[in-house]
Formats: sequence, C-alpha cells, structure tokens
Amino acid sequence: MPEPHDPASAAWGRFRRNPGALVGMTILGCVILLAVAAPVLYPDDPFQMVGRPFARPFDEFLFGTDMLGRDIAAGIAHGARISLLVGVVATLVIVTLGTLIGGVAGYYGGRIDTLLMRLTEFFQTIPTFIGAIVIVAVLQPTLANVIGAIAAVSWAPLARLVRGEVIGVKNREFVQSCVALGMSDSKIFVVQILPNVLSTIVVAGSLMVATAILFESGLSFLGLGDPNVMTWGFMIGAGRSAMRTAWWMVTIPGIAILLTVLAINLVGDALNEAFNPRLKA
Amino acid sequence: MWKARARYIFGRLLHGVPIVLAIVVANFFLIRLAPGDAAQVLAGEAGAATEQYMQQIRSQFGLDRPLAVQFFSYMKNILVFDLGYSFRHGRTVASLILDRLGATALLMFVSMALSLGMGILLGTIAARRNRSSAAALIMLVAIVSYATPLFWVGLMLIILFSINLGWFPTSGMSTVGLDATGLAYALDVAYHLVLPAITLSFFYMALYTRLMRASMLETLRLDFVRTARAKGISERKIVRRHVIRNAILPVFTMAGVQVSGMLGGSVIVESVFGWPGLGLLAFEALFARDLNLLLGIFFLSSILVVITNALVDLAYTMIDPRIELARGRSNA
Repeated sequence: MPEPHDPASAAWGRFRRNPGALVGMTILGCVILLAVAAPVLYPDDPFQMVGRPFARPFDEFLFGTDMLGRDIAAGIAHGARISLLVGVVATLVIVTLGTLIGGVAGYYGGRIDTLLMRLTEFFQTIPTFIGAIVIVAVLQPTLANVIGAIAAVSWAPLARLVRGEVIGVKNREFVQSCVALGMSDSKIFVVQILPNVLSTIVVAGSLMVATAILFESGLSFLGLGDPNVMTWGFMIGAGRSAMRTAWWMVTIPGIAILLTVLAINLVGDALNEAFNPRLKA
Repeated sequence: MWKARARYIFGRLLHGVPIVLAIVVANFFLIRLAPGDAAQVLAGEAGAATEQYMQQIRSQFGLDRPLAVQFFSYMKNILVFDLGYSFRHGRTVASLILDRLGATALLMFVSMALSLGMGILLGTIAARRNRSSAAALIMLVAIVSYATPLFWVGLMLIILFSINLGWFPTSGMSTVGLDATGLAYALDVAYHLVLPAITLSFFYMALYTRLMRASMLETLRLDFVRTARAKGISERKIVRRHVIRNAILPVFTMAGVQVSGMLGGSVIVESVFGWPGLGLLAFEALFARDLNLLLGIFFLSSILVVITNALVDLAYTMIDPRIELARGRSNA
C-alpha cells in the first residue's frame, strides 16, 4: 500500500512539531552563531591577558577573567569553535568508518563478516576513554590526534548498528531484483541500501556529535587537549586550582558544555522520534 | 546445571582470549608509535637518565634485537603478568596496579549499585505516572544529567558541599592522620566515598532512568499484562511481580556494557577527587609521561571488561533461563 504522502516530509513535520527540537535548535543555533562570530567579537588570541586576574563576572568583563587575566568570555567564544569542530569532524569520521565496515560486513556476510565483527568486538571491548587517553598520550596532543582518537574508539557501535540494518534490507525484493539485473555491488549499496539505512545513521550520528564533544572536553580537562587551541575542557582544568575563591572559572565553561551537549541531544532525540515514530512512547 | 554453567563461563572466557591478545599487540605497537626512541618512552620521565641506564633498558626490553624477537619477548612477559617497571614510582607496574585496584573496584561497585538502584526506581516512577508532572521532572533531570560532563559534576559538588557547606571532604580516600581501623576506618572511607560515587553514578543514573522508563512503557502494553489485569490482580502487584521483572532485563544488559565506560569515567572522577585508584594512577602516569604504566593500566582494564562481559552473560542466563547456556550472545 502506498504511503499517503512522502515519508521524509512527514518526518520533517513531526520534527518541527517537537518542542524539544525547538529548544535544541534554538540553543544550538546560538552556539553556532557564537562560534562563527568569535573572530569578530574577540579578534585577539583568547590566550592573551587582557585585564587584571580574578576579575569577577558581570563586571568589567562579561564572564570575568581567569587567574592569568584572560577573558573567559573570549575563551567561551573560541572554545565553541573547537567543540563544534571536534564534534562534527569526529562524527564524520565515525560515520564513514562505521558505515563502511558495518555495510561491508552486513552486505557480504560470511568470512568477511566474521572477521570485521571480530574487529568490531575488539574495539567495543577496550575501555573507550582510557583507549583515547592512551592514543593521545602516545601520539602527542594535537587537534587531529584528539579527533582521530575519539573516532578510533567510537566507530564500533555504529558499525554494528549499520550491519544489522543492512542485513535487514539486503534480502528484500528490490535489492534482489538489482542483483538479478547485474548491478554492481557498490552501486547497489549506494543507491539501494544506503538510502534505506540513512535515517538510522543520521539519528545515531547526531547523538554522536554530543558524545564526541563530551569526550573532547574530558580529554582537555585531563590536559590532553591541543595546547595551541582554547577549549572549554582546558578552561575548567586550568580554573580548578582556583576553585575555592573563583567559582566562575570552572562554572561558566561547564555550563557552555552542558548547554551545547543538551541541545544536540534534544535535536537527536527529536530526529529519532521523527524518523522512527513507532518507537515513540 | 552447574557443570553446564562452568563450561559456559569457561567458553566465554576463552572467547575473550583473542581480544586480550589483540590488546597486547596494540600495546606493543603503540609504544613504538610514540615519537622518540622506545627506550626513552619506557623510561618515562626518567628520560633524562644516563646513557648507561638507557642501554640497560634497551637490553632489558630487547630493543636492540629484531622486531619479531622483541614482540615475542614482550608477549612472554605479558603472559606472566610482567608489565614492566615504573621508574617514576620505583616499583613494578603490576604491583602498582594491583595496589590501586581495590579503591577503583569499590568506587565502581558502589556507583554501579547507586545508579542502577536510582535509575530503576526513577524510571519506574516515570513510567507508572506517565504524563504526570513528577514524570516530566524526572525526565528533565535525566536529560540534563545525560548532557553534563562528569568532571564538571564533581567540581560543582565540591564547590557546593565541600567548600561552601563543608559537609564532605574535597579529596582522598581517608582522613590523613586518622589511624582508624575496623568500623571507624570503613565509616571514614564511606564518608570520603559519597561525592565521588554520586559523581560517577550521575550520568549512568540518567541513562538507566531513560532506559527503564522506555522498557516499562513497552512491557505495560504487552498481552500478559492485560491478562493479569483481567484476572483482577492489583496494579501494584502487576507492576512488582510481572512488569518490573521483564522490563529490567535491557537495563541490566546496558549496565554490563557500561562497565567499560565506567572505567573511563573513574579516571575523571578519581582525578577530580584524588581517589587513589587506577584512574588517579593513570592521571599521574599521564603527567609523568610514564607511558608504560599507562599501557599497563589500559591492558588490565581491558581484561577487566572481558571478565565482566563473561560474568554479565552468566548473570543473564540466571535471570532469564530461556537463554541457552550453550550458545553465546547472537551478533545482531
């Protein structure tokens, strides 16, 4: 029986009506705006000292200064760029790896599947955060290594998810008819199978952006962030020693992380409910 | 039955062997990926050591021999749990790790119990009073805690409860200078454990709350619940005896998966609270650039995950006898 109307626009309609999506998109929009405007709002290096140290917030400086007299608001603005960059790039790498490995395993089955699932199992067993710490500590903390480490320890669950979806789709008639027509494997995968598993990948991927941002903040907090870029996790780690007297140095960057991750989670949940309406409780 | 169980758990542990071997291989190559000479890496901060000392390390680890030989001697050492020597601490890595294992195990066990207990309770309330304001509040708290970085939760708790209210200590596992024993010592440790355990369970509590609620709502719609209602069994009894028992399974599955995540979380929580476990050891190793110690911790925590996964599978067969002992978990 044909759908009453296009399922994609139906999903979009459900997404737009979700109050969580509205809140999430609004906050996320502000964070993106802040990240884009950071070089205009705070053209100077956020590591530069601009005022007296330990200045309280909502005074001369919006969010005060840290113990070296760096403007915390400038750090928040520049940190937004790094958080979003890490979240998006790490997720792109994870989605590419996960789709490729899960897709090949699910589509071909047999020995390749066993081998790739063994690999996946390995990456699912190692403690992810400790694994990322080890990789960054061994390879030196640069932005690229941080992103690579996050992706390396996070792709496995997605690969498993994609594999399951691909197995569910590959025996359906429309795929089998393409096989009978002699269409190449890669074309079948891209044209026939991928569109059918795309919604799963988009939903899982959107939530992964949030996880990657939390991951990066944890690494920077431990001192494993790129020392040349200002990150929210680094600001909290640095402000920790002055916590007794200067609450704002750890509190404000934490709220920035919380709001960003919360917004992305809300959007991800809304996407999930829009694309998989039967799961909605 | 017990014989079958023993065979099952042995099979599961055997299943973990290739994974453990793969971790050994990964560790071996990771050390060699580090910039600089492997001897310098192994020496850690003692990297400023004398040339004679470096030579000693090179011959001790066989770094002057071909890669294949190095690899096999490395494997041989690992298999007898010889993880090398931490020059920074002046002790073997294995003894350092074993020393710290207890504190981490305590922290993780208490956090796991706390997050599971709270998550199941809150999730049940949210599902039973679906669409009430209490449920909305619980879900709001869950969504917010789900998005909060662990270290920040810890720091906020310290600012509020230690610095401002003075209720709990800021760091450590026991009061310095208090040479208590027995019950007094246990109480002192428990007192120090409160904030770290709350911090570590914060995220997982949110996770289990969401999962338990979804699972309960799904179970409440099933036919056997309707049958039970038709038989006139009270709603309270239906929930207790039938719904919770079925709804709890996915939560336990997730808890098993989360052991690996919790180990990572304990690095953060222990470095925030100075809790003297494996996580703090990893944090100290990071600062001292003691990579060999770090890799040892990575190796051991991976083994812990393999063992817990086997135990979780076993627990699963006890909760749900329909799962055949002979077969492992399916891959789907």
